Amino acid sequence: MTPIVEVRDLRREFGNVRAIDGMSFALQAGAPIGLVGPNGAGKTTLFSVLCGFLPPTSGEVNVMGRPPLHPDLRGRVAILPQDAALVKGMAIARQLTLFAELQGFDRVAARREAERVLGLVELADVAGRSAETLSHGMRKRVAIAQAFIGEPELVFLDEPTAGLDPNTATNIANLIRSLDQKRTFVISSHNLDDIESLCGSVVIIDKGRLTEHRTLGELMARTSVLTFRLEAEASGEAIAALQAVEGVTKVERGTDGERRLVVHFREGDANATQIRVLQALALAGVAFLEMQRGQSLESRVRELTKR
Amino acid sequence: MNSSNWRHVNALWRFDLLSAMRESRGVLFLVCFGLFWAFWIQKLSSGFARDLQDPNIGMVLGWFFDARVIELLQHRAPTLVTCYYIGLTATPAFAILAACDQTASDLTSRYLRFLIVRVGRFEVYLARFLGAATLVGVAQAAVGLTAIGLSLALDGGTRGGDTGATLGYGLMATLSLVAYGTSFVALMAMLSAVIVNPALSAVAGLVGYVIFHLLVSLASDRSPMIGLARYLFPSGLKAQLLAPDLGAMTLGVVAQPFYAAAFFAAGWFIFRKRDV
Repeated sequence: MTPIVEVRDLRREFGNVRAIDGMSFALQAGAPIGLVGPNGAGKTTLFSVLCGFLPPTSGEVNVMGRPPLHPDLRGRVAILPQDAALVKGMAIARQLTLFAELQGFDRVAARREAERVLGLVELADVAGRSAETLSHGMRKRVAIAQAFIGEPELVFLDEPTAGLDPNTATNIANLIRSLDQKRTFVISSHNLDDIESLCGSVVIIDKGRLTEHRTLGELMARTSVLTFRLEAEASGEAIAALQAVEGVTKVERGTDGERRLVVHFREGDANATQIRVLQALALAGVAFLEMQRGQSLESRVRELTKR
Repeated sequence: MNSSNWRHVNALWRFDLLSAMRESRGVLFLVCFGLFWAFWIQKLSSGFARDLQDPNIGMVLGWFFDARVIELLQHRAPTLVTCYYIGLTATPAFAILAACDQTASDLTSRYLRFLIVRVGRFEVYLARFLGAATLVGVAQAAVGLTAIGLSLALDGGTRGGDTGATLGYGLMATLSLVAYGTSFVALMAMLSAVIVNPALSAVAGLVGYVIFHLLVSLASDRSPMIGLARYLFPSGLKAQLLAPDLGAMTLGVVAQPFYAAAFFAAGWFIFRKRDV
């Protein structure tokens, strides 16, 4: 099957700084794909190159078999750019109508399409207001709405929930979930909870290079790890007590102040091992706020991009 | 460019014109342009331009202003010529003000990111140019047509003031104002792509234009070759545009699209490679 996005030996330099350093990967159509990495990893540059906003210094990028922004991709690829501003002084519905017209809708249909996508992001009641009179969150939702005009097959979303309140962020996540059967999303985000809840696979980059590209299931090793969020830092004695538990293979403590504990164990007899780990914690007087089977994506990304 | 591309250009052009009427840039241009011409039309309505055909007054004016205008006043309807001369002189400033933000804001605000996923860069660049050229062109044409009307009402009995001559010369002058304005709009298409900031583009356009002309004027006294540099700007052909002879004037008008095409092409060369 032809990859929906294919990157070969991609390099992008800004003067002497190499933001992307020889990256290659292929993304298949289907479940949403997360693009994650720490600050300075080259995520924004990679996203910009994939969208065609920046040309690569060398290497090749293909989106649905074509270079980014190829005329054949118009209407098939949609983008939510993170920091692009709408025109001031114009009603948002008029602006979305323009975008729809540019995607081939006639004027009447374009107006209807603008209303439809504003409805998707629950902004139908402010359609007549101009962008500068809206809150940051509302402007963000308008920007998201424009990415859903028409029937794009591939949607690039850069930080789709950044700056949104929790309820709105949940609504946007639900919207993405409701549409992900019909199209492929590539989501770049620092919010790893969102990526974890929305995506089927993740591309992790660091220092301009590809660190991992795997399905979420493969990445998070759900069956042989327990992750605890603690009330207080675990003492050395508590760690030693956990390491002595039968079946436990490794105990990792989070960085200072993180109050996190990751306990790895052998796969056989997992339930009994978990009970023993909980008993050991109780005996050591370690209280926890949250326990998770497997590692969170955040833990894995931190582990993989540790500097 | 196929029909779909032209549909895109048409949609962007309409939107651009509409937003120009609502944004500070467009409103500022319309207010300044309107006030400027309201002042001059009120002045000219008194019929004072008729007196400018008097050779004694003309000699004094020629010392202060452009000697070519004095010659023109002897052959053409005076109110029309005065309007035309004021219009030509003010065109660079108004066109630069109106057209300073063609692709500059698209690049700084990254609004272009919303567009280029849907249309080609050239369509955006062309539509922005057409939007600004329409705004300036309509305003210039309105001035030209108003000048014809004023002249028909006031210049009867003056040299060159008969109806046929006034209409013929007036329409040519109107075309000249539109073409001259379009050349400066194209200049700003280039500058806005280079400078990527509407206000700085306007300042660079105005200051650059003034300094260039001062330097060329000073240097051309020493070397006629340097004087040829004035033809780098459309105003280099102002002598032809102000010629009483319609043939010379036509040459000045016909040359304007070449200036516009050259600036437009240079701007496109820069804009097409800009990171967005």
